[in-house]
Amino acid sequence: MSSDRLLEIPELVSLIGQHLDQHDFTVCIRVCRAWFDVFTPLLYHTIAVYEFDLYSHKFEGATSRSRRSFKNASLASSDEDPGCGGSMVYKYGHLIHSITSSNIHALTYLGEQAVNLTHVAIRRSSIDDVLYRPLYADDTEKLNWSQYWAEIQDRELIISTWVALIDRNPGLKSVRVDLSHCCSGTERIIHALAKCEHLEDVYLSSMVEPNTLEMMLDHCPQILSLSTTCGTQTTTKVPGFRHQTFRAESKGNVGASTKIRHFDIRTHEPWIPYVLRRCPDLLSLILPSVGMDIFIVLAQEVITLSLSKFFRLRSLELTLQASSIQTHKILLATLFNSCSASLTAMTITDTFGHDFGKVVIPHIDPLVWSRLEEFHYTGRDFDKHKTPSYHLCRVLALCPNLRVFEISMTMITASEFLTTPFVCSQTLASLKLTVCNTNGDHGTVRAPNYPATAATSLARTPLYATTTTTQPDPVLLSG
Amino acid sequence: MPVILVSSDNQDFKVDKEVAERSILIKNMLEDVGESDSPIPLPNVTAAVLTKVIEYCEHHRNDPVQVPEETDDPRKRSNDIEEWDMKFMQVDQEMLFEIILAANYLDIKPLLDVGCKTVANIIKGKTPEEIRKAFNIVNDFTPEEEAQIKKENEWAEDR
Repeated sequence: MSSDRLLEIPELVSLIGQHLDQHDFTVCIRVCRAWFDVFTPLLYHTIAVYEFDLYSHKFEGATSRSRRSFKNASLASSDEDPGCGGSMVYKYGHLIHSITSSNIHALTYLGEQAVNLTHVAIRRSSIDDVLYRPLYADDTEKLNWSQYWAEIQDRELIISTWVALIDRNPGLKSVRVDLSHCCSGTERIIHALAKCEHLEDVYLSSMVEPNTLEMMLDHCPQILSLSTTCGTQTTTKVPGFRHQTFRAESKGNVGASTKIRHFDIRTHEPWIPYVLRRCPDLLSLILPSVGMDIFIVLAQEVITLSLSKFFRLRSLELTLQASSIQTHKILLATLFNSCSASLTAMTITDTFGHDFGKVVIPHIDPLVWSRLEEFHYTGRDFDKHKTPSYHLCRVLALCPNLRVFEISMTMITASEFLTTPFVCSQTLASLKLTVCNTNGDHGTVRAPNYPATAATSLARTPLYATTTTTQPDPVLLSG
Repeated sequence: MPVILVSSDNQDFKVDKEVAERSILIKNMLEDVGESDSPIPLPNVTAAVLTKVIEYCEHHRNDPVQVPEETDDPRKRSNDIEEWDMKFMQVDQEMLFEIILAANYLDIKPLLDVGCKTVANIIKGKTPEEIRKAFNIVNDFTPEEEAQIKKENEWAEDR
């Protein structure tokens, strides 16, 4: 039978499997024994089970696990319960390459037998998820969990789970850790990660320890991508530096350079420029939303990095917190101009005003525009503030290689849009903006339903609809 | 410049070099052999299957060479089989598997992709019994075993 021959070739099975999802695999393993053998590794390759609980059986009093989720009703209710449900994860632990879960207890169980992991992540799947315990099913459970949790003084469970998991899986490439309860244990986790030679991508959520980033960069210089968010208790001290005396030209010893290509550190802390300075290989940078005083220092840091002939930043995303950017227009323009040799994507969130198009765009070097492929702009919430943003359409007239032009949370006037000469007709593939008349009444334009008068330019573009199209209001377009 | 391909059941097929070179295996063979006119034996491919493969390569002779796209999510691509390819793949499932095996042996990646997507589309959304019917597979599980497997592994579906 040809299907037998085909299934004997793992590359072909995995090619077919690329187009199937987890549900399909659970069906395939029931077809016959041969299919069971072939599809079980595919099923267990990537486990994304957010809610998984094995600990509530230790509590006194009945816990109604089935009330929390119908799936849990059939799962193993204790470590001694063989055969049912999730104990398969013990049997097939070696097949698992990727685990995503929403709390540390699930990870403890799911990852216990795993030795071939390349991806591990703890992340919320819903707003109710809590990162260190499963959701409560009822008040009895809630009481029990708070007592159980109180006994763990130094969050040892979380730290030792992570360290053991990392030590067991030296092939890890991508890790997403929540550090909110790790405190001094953070260092042990980072030391464990340092031994993973293939580690590329790290996401640290809720950092609390002040030295976390420095430790990360010192011990794991091999990583290519670093994203972090800060927990609520972050302290602001970096040893040796003080906020008041920080200067961009400070030559303090900041530590060795790293290979980081993707940088997304969400903090308002003033020490972040020191971290940025250690990333000369950046391809993509998301500057955090910070006050203008820190922003200026960050911008100057990027400009300094750009002086190196190896600088090749391709994507820059920033958030402007200034109520008026008139005073900073030259700095902003210089920031973009410094990346003119390589920049292809620009993403701006303009939280206060609508000045970017009017004030900054004219000062940006034509070299930047000639290379730009993606332009994303997010303004203020336009439902509350009905003033349109002006001069953003200039980008359509300046960029011959533009593929993506997306404007959100603000409006463009119809007259500006319709009178803009497109130079990007050959390359524009995605267009999203909201058009209004001068009164601020608006309708959304998404390709390919664009107004007829602009069709002469747009008709020649290879636009395709990626979202459902809405008809623009014919009244506003003729007016 | 025609090339002669010989199937496992000794049938000759004359095709243009450009068409034959959609198969990376054949392309490499031709480069090694140089200017020789000798026919290329394909012991793993029967005449019936080779006919279909040649039909595909003829239709796609002018396609640009595919660059492997690692950034795409393969799952999203399952539905976008072009119409000609879909009609081309409407064969009995025995032939479908033979085409995939031939595309694998001959190293014709686009044909391999289309074949695997087609098989995936057949599998998607079916119950085990429907899959067995589609592929003429004998069930060697007892009903109890099948229920046990379902119970033990259902949790692994994405939540």
